[in-house]
Amino acid sequence: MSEHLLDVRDLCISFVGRDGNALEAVNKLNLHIDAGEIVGVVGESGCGKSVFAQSVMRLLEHEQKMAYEGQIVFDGEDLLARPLKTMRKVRGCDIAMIFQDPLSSLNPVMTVGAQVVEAVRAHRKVGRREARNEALSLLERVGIRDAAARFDMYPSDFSGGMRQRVMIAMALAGHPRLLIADEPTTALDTTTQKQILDLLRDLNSSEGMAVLFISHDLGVVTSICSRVHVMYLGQIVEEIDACGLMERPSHPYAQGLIASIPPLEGERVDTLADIPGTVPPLTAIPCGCRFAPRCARADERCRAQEPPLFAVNACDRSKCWLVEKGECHGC
Amino acid sequence: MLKYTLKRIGAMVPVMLIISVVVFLIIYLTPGDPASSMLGMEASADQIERVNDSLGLNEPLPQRYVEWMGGVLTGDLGDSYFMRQPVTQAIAEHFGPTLSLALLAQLIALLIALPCGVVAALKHGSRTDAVLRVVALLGVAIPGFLMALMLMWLFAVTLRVFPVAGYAPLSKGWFSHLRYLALPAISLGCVQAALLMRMTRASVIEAMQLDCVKTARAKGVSEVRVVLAHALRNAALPILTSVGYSFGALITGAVVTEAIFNIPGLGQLVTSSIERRDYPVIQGVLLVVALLNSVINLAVDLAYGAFDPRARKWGDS
Repeated sequence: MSEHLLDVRDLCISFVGRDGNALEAVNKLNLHIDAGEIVGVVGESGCGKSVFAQSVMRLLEHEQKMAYEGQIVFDGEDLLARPLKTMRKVRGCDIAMIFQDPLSSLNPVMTVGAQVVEAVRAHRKVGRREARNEALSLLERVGIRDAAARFDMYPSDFSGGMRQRVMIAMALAGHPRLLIADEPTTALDTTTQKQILDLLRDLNSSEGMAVLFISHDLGVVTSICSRVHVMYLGQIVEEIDACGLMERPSHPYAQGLIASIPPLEGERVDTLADIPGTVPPLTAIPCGCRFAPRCARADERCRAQEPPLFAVNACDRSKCWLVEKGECHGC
Repeated sequence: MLKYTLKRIGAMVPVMLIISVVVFLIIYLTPGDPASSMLGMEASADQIERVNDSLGLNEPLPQRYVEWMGGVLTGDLGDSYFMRQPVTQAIAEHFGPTLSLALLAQLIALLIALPCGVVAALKHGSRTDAVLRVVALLGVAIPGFLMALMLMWLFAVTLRVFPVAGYAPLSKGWFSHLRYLALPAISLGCVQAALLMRMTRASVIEAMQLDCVKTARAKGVSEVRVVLAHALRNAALPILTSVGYSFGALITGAVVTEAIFNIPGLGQLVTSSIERRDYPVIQGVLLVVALLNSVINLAVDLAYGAFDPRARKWGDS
């Protein structure tokens, strides 16, 4: 029925506390990724983007009681319908993941080589020597020079960029069709950031690996992704192609985010634009449009009634009543 | 690493010197004297004086300390007042049983503590965890001698599987050596297991929160491997530290257990020597035990390096 590689339908994710109370972190999320596509999710910290990213592989359930609604369909199969124990067959094999902090994400007491070998052997029965050779070629593939000499080093001997390369090498071990990159460049400096982005782009085109790219950095996301989803407080408020995000965002939140980027050229501005107020906690989600209390253009209806995700044009969607009125400047 | 080891051994010298002074002084500050315990209640003051003279107990304290230390440095801990043998020989004879007992008890403690601690950590908050924690609390709370007596009553008196008391040296064969040591080792091991299990549980719970555990899961590694290769290895340092403490405690703290099971170990040697005010033996045993504890601490610190590459770097800097 669906030809998408990953098709997330009406996904709601809640943390279930000890007292049985649920705290909803992601609400009615719809998103799809086609094979070979790079799709982005941007949002402030706490908007639920990381929770979503980790939920695709159902990693959070090992640490915490979770409740899911909706579907995460990968290659025609709903991952949420699988028993958690069999998720192992999907992880690292069909879908791989890299994380924000490559230092803490690598095991500090295990050599880099052993960790890549572990990834190689997680899904295929290969001998030690063969696994080692494959790990070496993976490390070389992600641009680690002298991989043989560095094979028995520990993550603490590596620089931040190299560590992230090791993470990517481990992710490639199972030849995944989808890579989830959860803020992969956030902990890196700008030059390293660019190298990692180039590597991801290269792997995307050469291996045909689709990427779900999570970041809070609008610049990074628009530079690497073809389509971008903007999240606010657990909901996708805008879906737009990457070039469009900077030029014609429809949702006031997306507009606010873009206005708050300091300009690199032109006259120096003394005060940057910002979005008034702060993100409310998950325990106090406003009714109506979740962004309404911070939105300059909100009216009575915004505060009372939640807007649906309107189609702005053929591919862009925006969760704002202004679209219906035809008043947003993206239209 | 070698430099670090030498530095640590060097640091042990002043520690041992201070301990030697304390050991020496504490004993002479205790009331009672060897002469009256040697000669009995009816000894005359004159007889006591003569014995004290022959033992060199009438010399001033500093002089006696220097003489004793001089001997210690050449490996001579003096002669026992009562046993007609050098202290080093007495210690050597009694050390074997204590070491055997401590090693066996430590092994039992680890065999109980590691699996139980890991299971409790993985299921923390569950009923299994609650049961294991209560059992561990009981293990800590029950006095060692009570545990020993209960085990003795059940396995030796009622079921007659193990001997009630006594000791068979290794020279009489593994089987009877272990048969005699089984009950005392279990009773000591259970108490240590309770302490170690709580430490294991806490460290594994902490290690399971590490990002690298999440990475391992994301790689598709089996949950068993996630726990053993990633969480447990990261939890190893605090567990190792408590193993060091517990081994030190087993070497020194087996006095009561040794007495109950009539094992001719260091504990028995030191209690009988204290009763008789056999100063050279008491001093010797205390000094050896203190040295042993320092060595265990050093061994634990060096073992850190084997488990954690970052510890090797601290060592070198």
